[in-house]
Amino acid sequence: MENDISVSQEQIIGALVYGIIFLVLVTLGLVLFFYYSRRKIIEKEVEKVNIKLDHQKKILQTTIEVQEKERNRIAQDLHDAISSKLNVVSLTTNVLLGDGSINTEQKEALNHILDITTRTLESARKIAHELMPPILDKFGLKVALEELFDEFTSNTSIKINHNIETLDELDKSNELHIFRIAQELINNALRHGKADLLQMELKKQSQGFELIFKDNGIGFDVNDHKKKSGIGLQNIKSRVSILNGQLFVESSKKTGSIFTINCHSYGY
Amino acid sequence: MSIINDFFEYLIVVMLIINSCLYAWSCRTLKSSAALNYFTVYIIAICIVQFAATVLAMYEKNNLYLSHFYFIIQFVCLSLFFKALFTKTQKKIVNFLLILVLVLLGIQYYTTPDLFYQFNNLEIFITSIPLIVYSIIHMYNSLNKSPRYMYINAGVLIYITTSTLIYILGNFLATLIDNIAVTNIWFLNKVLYAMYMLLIMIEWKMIYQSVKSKS
Repeated sequence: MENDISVSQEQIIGALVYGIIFLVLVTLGLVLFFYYSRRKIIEKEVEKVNIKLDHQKKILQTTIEVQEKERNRIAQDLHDAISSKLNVVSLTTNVLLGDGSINTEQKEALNHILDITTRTLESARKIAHELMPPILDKFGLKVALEELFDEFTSNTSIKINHNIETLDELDKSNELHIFRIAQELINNALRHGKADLLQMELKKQSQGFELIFKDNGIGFDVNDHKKKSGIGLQNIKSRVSILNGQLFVESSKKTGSIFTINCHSYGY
Repeated sequence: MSIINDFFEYLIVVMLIINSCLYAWSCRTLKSSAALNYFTVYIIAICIVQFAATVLAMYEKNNLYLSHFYFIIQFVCLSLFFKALFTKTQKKIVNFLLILVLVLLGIQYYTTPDLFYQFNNLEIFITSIPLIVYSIIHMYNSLNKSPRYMYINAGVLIYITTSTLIYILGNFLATLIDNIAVTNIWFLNKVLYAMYMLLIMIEWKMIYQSVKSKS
């Protein structure tokens, strides 16, 4: 009888041990289930945010592409429709001026017309050049960039040291993106950074290229700009992503700003 | 076997003291949340109870009545800990259960004071089940949010669930003092408790690292 009780006690204790192990496994399973469910949910959410970001990026890129096309069209129209007509006006006025039968008053009026026409032609040419630098199209990125540096340095105390290598594999639209990035970087350094010594290097790499821009300006808070970058910097970022590259920014009050753009290819 | 058993006995006390010091230190020096404050109170109180139990056991005196303090302190502090992490409606449920359980236990001890000197099954059951439910609710809440105190939560869920089963059968096991299998069960409880303490320690490390990286 006593033996029976002891055996049943042993059985109860044995069942208890299995019960404990069972509960440990069940609760552990529950913890793991929640852990992996959470991971899955977060993965899905990250995916959603990435799709949204990609979409925004595409919109920005398309905006830039459309903007460039539109600039090109306006520059072309300015040249074809306005400049050529104004040239006709200028020529006709010159012909009239050569006519000996006109009096002084008329001559003065014609001179005035000629003066205004010449100035308007000059303005139209300048606007067209700013919209779409023809030198980029005709002589390539290296020459266009050098001319851009000359524009900024002539008649100012600003100094730009540069080392630009020729990138033969780059197509026209990507050349334009690099040109715009350079333009924006110089503008930012002068306008916001109050810099007077700039350095730009465009180097060929075994795959793609690298653009390094340094200034001696007052710098800015990179972390703050990451959250809320201005239109200028946003534009640079979008163009860099069109080029399929990466942008690295370092900035401090002591050293100024350094922008490095690495592209392991020549755009898409 | 008895050496390993003793080792775990002292390991638990040492880990409890270390955890109490670590959590008390973080509460004083780091900017801590309400939940962390409640958890610190819990770990210190449990440390004192465990220490008292070990001392009484050393002098071979009855320490079983300390288990009631252990269960009630655990229930109150962990309820408040989870309450601090919960949403508005969930907080109301915690409040309701906290009052209900304490009133029920008050009535029970008033009517049958003898229960004080043995394992009280009703007490074990009604102070443990809500904590297990809270733990699962907290995991559910953390599904789409950044997880908070997940190591503590996992420890609470695993340890309290298994220890509840052991304690509920505590009175039965207490009648079989000399049985080796019974010693093994209490040993298993100690191992699980040491794991629980380890998870609490890991959680502290996580809290400390996150505060450090923020500053």
